Parts: sequence; structure tokens; C-alpha cells
Amino acid sequence: MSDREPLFPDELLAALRRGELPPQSASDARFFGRHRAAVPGDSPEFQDFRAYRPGDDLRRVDWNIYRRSGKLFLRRFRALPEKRHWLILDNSASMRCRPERLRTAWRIAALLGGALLDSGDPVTLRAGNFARNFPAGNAGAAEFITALERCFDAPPVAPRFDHPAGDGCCIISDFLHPEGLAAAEKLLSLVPGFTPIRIREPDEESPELAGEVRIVDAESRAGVVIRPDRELLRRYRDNLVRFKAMLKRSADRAGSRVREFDADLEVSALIRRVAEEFFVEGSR
Amino acid sequence: MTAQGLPWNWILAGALAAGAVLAALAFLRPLCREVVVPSIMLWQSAQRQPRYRVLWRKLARLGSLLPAATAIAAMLLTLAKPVLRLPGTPPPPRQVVIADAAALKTAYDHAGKLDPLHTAVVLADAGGAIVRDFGAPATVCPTPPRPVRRPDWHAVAALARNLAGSEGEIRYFCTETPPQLPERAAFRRVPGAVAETPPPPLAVLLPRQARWARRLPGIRAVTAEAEAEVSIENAVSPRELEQRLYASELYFADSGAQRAEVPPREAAAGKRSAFQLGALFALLALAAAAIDFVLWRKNRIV
Repeated sequence: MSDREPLFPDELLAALRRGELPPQSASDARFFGRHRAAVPGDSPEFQDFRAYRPGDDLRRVDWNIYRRSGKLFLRRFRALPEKRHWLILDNSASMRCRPERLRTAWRIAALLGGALLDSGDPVTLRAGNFARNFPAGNAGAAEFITALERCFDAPPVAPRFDHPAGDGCCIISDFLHPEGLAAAEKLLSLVPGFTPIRIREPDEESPELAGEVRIVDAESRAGVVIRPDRELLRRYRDNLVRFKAMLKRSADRAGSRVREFDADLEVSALIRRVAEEFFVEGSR
Repeated sequence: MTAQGLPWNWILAGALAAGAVLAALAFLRPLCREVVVPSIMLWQSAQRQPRYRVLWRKLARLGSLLPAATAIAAMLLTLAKPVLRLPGTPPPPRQVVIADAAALKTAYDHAGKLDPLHTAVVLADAGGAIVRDFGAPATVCPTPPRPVRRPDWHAVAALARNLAGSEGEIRYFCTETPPQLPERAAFRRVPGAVAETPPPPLAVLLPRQARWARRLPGIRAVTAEAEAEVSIENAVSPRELEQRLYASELYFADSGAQRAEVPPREAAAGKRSAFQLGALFALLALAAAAIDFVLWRKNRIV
């Protein structure tokens, strides 16, 4: 993936146009789109019958049943309430450490946002200081892509993950906190229901560092001199395991699960992964 | 300990320069490599260690310089060709090597094996020219002047005796036999461009030890008429003469034979008072370099 590669290649835009990602029908939606409600509503989708009670709307009486059985039954329909989805993009310096990281995050947002808007849900996008609502539908999807392109080059700011409880929310970030693991967990514990989408480095398990190196935090600019021998690498991997466990705990509390994407994923592989993670039967 | 190769002040300057470069490389290395990472969150807590381990790491880091420094020092010492003189042994007699132009290279090589503090090389050019004085490092063999004048052997011998003193020894390395060997002198014929001609008889003055001289190892023929055969005066005891011949590793010429060889095995059997340490330091340099390489490999991430 080179620096000159377009943010949204034709392959990705074509996938959005063809509607490859949205669920087949609203009632089958597992993750996105309109969702079934516990109470009946007034959607055109049939739910069940119930016996007539005085005062019910006669327009909903099923006259065919009455003709056959002489009893009055009412048709009930599903309620498909509108649900707003938040897409929160981490625009911090750590995400901008390598262009591939930010680009992959933006592409995932484009795929998810486009699918949500196409399936009829309004979306709110927040990336750094940029925040905007998008109405459902094709026009909203086009605006959404343009807005993403516009805020790609915005100056980095510390991420804000807050959003109204009850709305759906995907946070696309590396979830690394300059103050450490405890601070990261504390921050995530304050966020209501959300799905963490983590952008990770492909070599995070075995970082290619040799000899004595001064590593500098892209966000805080603090530096630490390390000599990555086997012992230090072992402790680093232990910390990585703890970090992933923390993220999993946070996702469990939020009623979701962590999705991880390599920063260097090619577009076609990325589309396939997003489809597998969010749209395949059984995924939450 | 004395040096035959590079002089000590050169060695010291080299060691200081190499040490400074090594230290600079070791301490500047962290400043050279800087990598910006998304977060140091996971590294920072991995880096935290008990105080004793931090101290140990600092010591180990300094210790990792030791093999490299040792290798450099040993290499410099190898170039110095040091000679270790055993304590308590008397200083060896001065050695003056006389060589003609054709044999200068061989003579120079031979002088390099002797104690540099007590060895000088004289070129048999007219009255003699000192090409290497006592204590001078045996670096590159100088080119003899062209044309080389015909040697005045008496004047050359007088110069050599003057340099060696009364107790010193004189060794001739020549393509032709000198007309007369002075006291405490030995001769080694060096094959050269000059056509081999039978040498004239050598002057030997050993009136009372002639019969004993036959028993000396390596001497195959000594004339019965001991008038002018061996250059060593009868003031020298037979035992001392034997020791010197053992140590000399030279050919000993007599009047009858062209030359009589003291075999190296017998020559090496003499008591040694000084040792060449060059090979030892070369081995040490190799071992230190190998250890440094192993440590470097060990600390790398595969």
C-alpha cells in the first residue's frame, strides 16, 4: 500500500455501489439495517394474529378468517424502529503514525457507513473534531463518502468515544492510550454499548526492532530506550495479551465483540473481511 | 616487555584512538536509531525492572564493550611484536648483525627475532653503515644504497665491535665469507647472486679447547691444528660457548668445511630468557573478536 494510493479506490466504491455489503432484507439484518422490535408496529411486514378486542381498528381485521371461522382476528405487523448508528473514527497521532493505519480505518468506516445508510439507518460520523449526521438513503451515502474524504487530512486530536446510549456505535481505533493500559480501560468503561474495531500493526506480535533503539510515542512524543532482547520481548508480548484481554472485557461489557483489522490489508481483502465480520449469518 | 614492531608511543596513540571510537560508537548508538511507534504503552511497562536489574543491565552494557576493546588492544599488541623478558635473568649480550647488500633482507628477518633493545644491523658498505640501531622498531627492511661500495671488512668489524661492546656478539650474514671473524663472532653464508666460491679459511683462536670443540653439537669438522678456527677467545668457558652456539641458530663456519650447521632442534634446546608474545596476542584478538560476535548475535532479534 503506497502513500499515493487513493483513499477510496474504485474497487471499494464499486462494492458500495453494487450494494454488496447490506443485508438481504431488513428482517434478516444481524448487525445493521432496521431491526425487529419486541412490540408490534406498522411496518408492511406481517408478524402474527391476535383476537379482536372492542376498540381495535377494524381496518386490521382479517376478513378471510372471519368468513371461514366466524371469528374476528386482527393482523399484527412488525415494528421496525429507526436506529441511529454512530461511526467514531480515531484521528489521533497514533493512528496517523503510518498512513496505512488511518487509510484502513477510513475505508472500514466507508464500507460500514455506506452499508448502514443503504439499509435505511441514519448515521452520525465523528472523526476528531468533525461530527455530522447523515440521513439514510443513497444521497446520504454519497455525502458520507465525501465527508470522510474531507476529514481525512484534519489535524490529529485526542479521540472522543462518547455517544448517546441506545444508539448503535462502532469505534474504529487502535485503542492505545499514552497513559497506559489502566487509562485505556477506564476510558472505554465510560462508553455505552459499542463495537470496538481495532486497527493493528501486522508485526505487533514480533516487532522488527534490533539492537538498542529509542522508540518515540507518536502521540505524546515521549521516548524510551529499549534493547529488545528475548526477555523484554516476552514481557512486551505479555502486555499485548493483557491489552487484548482488556479490550475484550470492554467489548463484553458493551455487549459486542472486538474486530481486528491489519493496517496493511489490501482493498479486496478488506472488503471480504468486513463482509465476513459484519454481514455473514451468525455474526453480531 | 619490549616491542619489535610498532613503537610503544604509536601503540598508545592507536589504543587511545580506537578506544575513543569504540566508546563513541557504544554510547552514541542509541541516539542514532530512533523509531516512531504508534504507542510506547506496551513497551514502557515491559521495560520497568527492579533497580538491581537496571544496574546489572548498565554493567552488562559496559561489559559488552570489553571483548571489542580487548580485541583491538590485542591486535595492536600483535602489531607491536612484544618480547617478554623473564625477571631475574641477566640482560642478553648485544647482538650486531653484519650483512652485505644481497643478504640484508635475511639478516633483517633474523634480527627481527632477536631482542630489539639489544640488536643492531650494520650494512657492509665501505666502512659500514648502521641500518637499524638498538631499540629501533624492526619495521620494513630498508633498500641498500646503489651502488654498494666494496666493504672494508676490518672497518666494518671495528664498527660492529664498537656497537656490540666487548661482551657483545657479532653475526655475519653474507653471500661471501669475510676474510676474518673477530672475537665472539659467527658467520652464516646466505646464498646470493654472487657465484659460490670456496671460502677462505676462517681465523679461529682456540688453542686449548680444540679437542673439546669437536664434541660441540652440529660442528662436523674442526681442524686438529687449532690456530685459527673459532672466533671466540679462550677466555670464554666451554660451557658458555656451548650455550651460545645452542642459542645462536646460526651456521658455524670452520676452515675445512664450507659450513657446519647447528640443527634447529638442538639450537632450540638452549635456555630461553625472552619470549615472543605476538602469536599469543593474535590468538587473544581472535578469541575476543569471536566472543564479541557471539554477544552481538545473541542480543539481536531473529
